[in-house]
Amino acid sequence: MRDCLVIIPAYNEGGNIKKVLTGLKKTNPYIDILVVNDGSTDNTEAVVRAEKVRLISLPFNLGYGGALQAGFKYAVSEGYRYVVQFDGDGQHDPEDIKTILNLLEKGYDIVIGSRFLGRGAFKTGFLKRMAINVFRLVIKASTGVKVTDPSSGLQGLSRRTFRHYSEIGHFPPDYPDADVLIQMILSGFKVVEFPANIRGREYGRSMHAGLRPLFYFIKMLVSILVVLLRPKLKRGG
Amino acid sequence: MGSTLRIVILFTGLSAVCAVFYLLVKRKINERNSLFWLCGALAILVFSTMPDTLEIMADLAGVKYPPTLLFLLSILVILFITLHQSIQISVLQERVKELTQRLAIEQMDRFVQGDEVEEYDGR
Repeated sequence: MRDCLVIIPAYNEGGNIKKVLTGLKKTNPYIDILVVNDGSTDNTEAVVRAEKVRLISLPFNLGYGGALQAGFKYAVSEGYRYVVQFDGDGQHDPEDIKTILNLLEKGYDIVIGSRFLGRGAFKTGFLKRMAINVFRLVIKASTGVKVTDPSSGLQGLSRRTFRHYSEIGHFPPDYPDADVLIQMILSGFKVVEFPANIRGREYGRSMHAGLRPLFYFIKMLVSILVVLLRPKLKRGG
Repeated sequence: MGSTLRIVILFTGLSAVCAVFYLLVKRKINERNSLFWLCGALAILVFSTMPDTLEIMADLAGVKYPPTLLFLLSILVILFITLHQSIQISVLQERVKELTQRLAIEQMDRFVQGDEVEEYDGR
């Protein structure tokens, strides 16, 4: 077993996952790969099995956060030092894993691959950009730390971070975002960003069409408020 | 309160108590969850059999038409029960997620022990 486990949550990624796994194996031969098949209804499971990498198949869809958390639990039980979250849709560049590992070696707890620091061709829509700007401001105001891309799916985590995430109630079932980051920074975890090469993709992860972005935005604001209130309530109670 | 309304409310309260006990006997609801419904049903029974209680309370609350207070209290009871159920659903969702993850990891362990995963050494 190696030091680092790359966790790829995959939901109906049968068409993309083979290419992603091939790229990862080629550029990072000395890391372990775990795909968490999040109740896919396509051939994702068969494709991953054929690639001979570790595979956890959830019996039904738990959502992005739920699938990642299953991976964290596995990483804790197997004693890995580092975890890298990687998307299964070909959006992330396997070359960036080396940068993540270097930063984790330097003692950072959460290493975020940001799409807004100069590299990559990823373009975000107006609404999503606005939402991200609001979250950036909230993170800066509540923690003093500047995070440009709080919703990035490309992240490296230290052992104490993913151990914390793996515990019940410590990781959101849908999309970990600014709320989790604020909680972690306030709890003393060291966060750093680096310019990642995030490529374009055909569909969004958290901001879909219709009223979903609005619902997501409001839910996230409530979630952030809860994170900020929780220590005060604990102290009071 | 008119006698017809009293009879309707009494019938509603009795029906609610009977329905909860029927569900308990049939194991469709557990004792813990039935308590809230029984409390609500008993409150309806009290108000219908002792309408003076409702009138005194309405008077104290400044409500001119006592049945309005009854409706308000009923809605509050239902809101409380709904909130309680939302809490239970949230707890259950978290537990189901935890169980699902553990089960999937357990199954995966067997898959790895079956030597079906090969360590990729980069060659």
